[in-house]
Amino acid sequence: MQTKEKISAFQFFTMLFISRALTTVTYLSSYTKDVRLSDMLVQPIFRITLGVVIMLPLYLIYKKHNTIDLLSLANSKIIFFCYVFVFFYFTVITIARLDVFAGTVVFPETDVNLLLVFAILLCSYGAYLGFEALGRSAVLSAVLVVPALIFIMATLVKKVDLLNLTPVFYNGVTPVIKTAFDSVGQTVEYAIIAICLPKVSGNVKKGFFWWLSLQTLLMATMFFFATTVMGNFTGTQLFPFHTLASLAEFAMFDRLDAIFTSVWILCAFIKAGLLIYLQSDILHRVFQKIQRKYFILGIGAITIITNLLIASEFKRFLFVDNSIFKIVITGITAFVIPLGILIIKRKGRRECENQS
Amino acid sequence: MVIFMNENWFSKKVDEITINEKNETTKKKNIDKDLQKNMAYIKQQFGDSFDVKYRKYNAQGREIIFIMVDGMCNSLLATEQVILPIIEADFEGEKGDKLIYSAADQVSASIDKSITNDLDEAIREAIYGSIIMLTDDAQFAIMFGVQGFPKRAVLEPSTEMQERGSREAFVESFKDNVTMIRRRVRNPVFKTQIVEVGDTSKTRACVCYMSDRVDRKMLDNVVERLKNCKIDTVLGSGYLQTFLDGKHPSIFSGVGFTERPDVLTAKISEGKICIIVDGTPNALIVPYLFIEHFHSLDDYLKRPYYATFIRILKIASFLVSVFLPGLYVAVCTFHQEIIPETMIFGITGQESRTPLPVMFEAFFIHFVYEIVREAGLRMPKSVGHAISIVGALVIGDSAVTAGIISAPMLIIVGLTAVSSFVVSTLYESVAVLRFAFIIIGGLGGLYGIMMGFAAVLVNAAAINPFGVPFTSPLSPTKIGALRDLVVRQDWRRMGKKKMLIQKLEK
Repeated sequence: MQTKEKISAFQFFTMLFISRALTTVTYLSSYTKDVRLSDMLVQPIFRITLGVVIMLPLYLIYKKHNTIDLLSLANSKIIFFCYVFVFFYFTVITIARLDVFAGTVVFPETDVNLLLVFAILLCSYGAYLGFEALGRSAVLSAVLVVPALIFIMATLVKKVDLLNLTPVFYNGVTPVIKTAFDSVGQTVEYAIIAICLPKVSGNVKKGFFWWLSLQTLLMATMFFFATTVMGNFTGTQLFPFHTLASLAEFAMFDRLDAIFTSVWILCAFIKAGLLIYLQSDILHRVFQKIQRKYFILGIGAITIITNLLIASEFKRFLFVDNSIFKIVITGITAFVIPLGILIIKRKGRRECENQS
Repeated sequence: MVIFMNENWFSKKVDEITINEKNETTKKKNIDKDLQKNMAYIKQQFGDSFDVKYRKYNAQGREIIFIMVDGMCNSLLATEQVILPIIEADFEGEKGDKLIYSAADQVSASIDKSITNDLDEAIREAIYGSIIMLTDDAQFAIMFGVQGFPKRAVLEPSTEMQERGSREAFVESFKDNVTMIRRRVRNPVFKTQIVEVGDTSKTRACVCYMSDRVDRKMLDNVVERLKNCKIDTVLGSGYLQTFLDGKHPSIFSGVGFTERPDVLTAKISEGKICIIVDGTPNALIVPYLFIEHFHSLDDYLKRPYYATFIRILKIASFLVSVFLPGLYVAVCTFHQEIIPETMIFGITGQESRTPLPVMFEAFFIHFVYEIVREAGLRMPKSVGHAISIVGALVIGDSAVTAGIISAPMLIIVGLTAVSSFVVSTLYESVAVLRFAFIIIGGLGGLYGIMMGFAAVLVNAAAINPFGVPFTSPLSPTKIGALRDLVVRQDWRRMGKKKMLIQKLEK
């Protein structure tokens, strides 16, 4: 990874927080079918533990080689394309989910294909402006996103009914751990960390733990309000947190889902922009003669075509947004590849030591 | 200008010029020992210009010629301090360069004088109000600064009003402007550097900074960009803004401007660099951050809590002036459910009676407003009231009565127009963004507005004027600088530590 553009750990993990907040606020109720909603409040404990475990190989790699990035260590085009594919897949999913939301909630009677195209063009523009610009935008977005979410939660306090909570671990611990595993396995941000660390300056460890804690806190808070305000009704909604926001009231304003929509779009822009940027950067490393902007153009065009194909039918979206597939590819890029590199490097070092 | 300080000055200056000559790669016209050749060249350059005066004198057998541009120099000063002392002086057989030396060092009473061996430079100085002295057998000319061209007096600022600040504003003469700053910084750390810009106009741009806190690399970069700007004529500081802004296309600029010497002094004391362009009553400031548009000198002259309140007000006004019309269009077109029940009937009732869709209505009325504003800006003051009446009554009230536009839309326009003047330095960006958001809101609703907002956000975040992020100190976050971001701390705390721009560099 080229380390010309560097951002601070605060900017980087804010960017990841925004990226992860998108996954949280766009939570699809289908993910929670095996587990009781109250269990989602204790799930963060397992999420944090799993998050730390998944990052261990990467931590050990960067402890030894803090100036060389993962891709340089791997030095394999297959691994390069593996990451490009994962980032591309998550870009498509991010935009597709936004498209489903816009098509079903914001403009249920309008064809939103044009907006979808504009959204991808916008993300490509963000990617074109670079890592630093995205990092700065993420901090500015966080200044808006966090107070907006807090405001929505604050207006919902009077609607909280604690009787909606059910005993935790009612169905045992296994489903909770399974959901936590599902959730961590679908977190592309771990793969992003694996690739971007050389571009980050400052205290990465501290940033990582803050990020892990805050994103799980956000998720737990959202689930707490969803469960206590909506009860089992949560499970019947396609986008439960959007429904939650539409129940929020402030003074004469009966619906605050507009704020929620704004949060969603800002987060999607940061996430998709970052993913497109990373794809272009990795491809530029492979084909150094071609300028990065041409890759962005190409990735943007392919993303538009893919999303238009998916957007035409909701079934296609559900097929593409496959949680098992996501777990597999995230697991490979965030855990298996770093672990493999770690083992190979250690083995190589031992052989060198034995020879000497 | 170089001021003569001691008797060895001349020989030192000659050595300096010779060394510089060796280093210089650009071609220049050296002064010839033959006075007639020099005169022929000067006359060829000026042609038949009636205002260029040549005065030939014979001082003890030596031919001396004074060249000046009528109206640019003070004739009385030129006669009393330069011409009379020289033609009446006894040069005791000195001639050529020696005579030039004696005239400059011992005879003339003028303070502002320098010598050159470049005839083109001498011509430029003459154009700028100096009187040039040439003589036979000399390879140097003296340039006496006796400027006396007509200029405007120092008046009150017209666009940056302050309640408690000084009442002085910059004028067109850059020397007067520098003097106004010099009066405020009585310390030799305040430095100036002249750069000529404009291939034809040869306009002087004065780069001002404080040597003990300026970032040298940034200074060199600014000077380099000014020297390299390919432009024929510079008639104002705005001409140079593009060259200082960098290549990243943006609706915002990383270059600020001010017409107040006190504001400029405050900026250079933060380590920034200011450029005063001759002939322009305002100065450029680099680097200029986004948040600085919401700061004013009054903030620092008033109590901190009030300054904080005013800053919040300004930020809110900026947001209103950019987003309100677009949001109104988006809500009325796509998201009526957001409008409270108490208002929805009034708004929809009014909007249903107008012939145009909300987006076109908003676009039209804002366009009309911009026409009225532009007319108000250019017209003679005596007809200002008439235009205001036409704008307010005919276009406003009558258009609502006739059912062309709705009353809520008129309220939106009024509120937007007033808000946009709260942060006047951002008006250009605000006006364009407002129209953009009206269109985006009409086509994409809130979804579109947020996408537009994200585009503006990332565009602003990508600006890096001279290595300092435009969105700093909020992003990248610099904790130390946050004490003067929106909430202003009091001087007892802020005064302890200098807030320098270098600390915000990435």
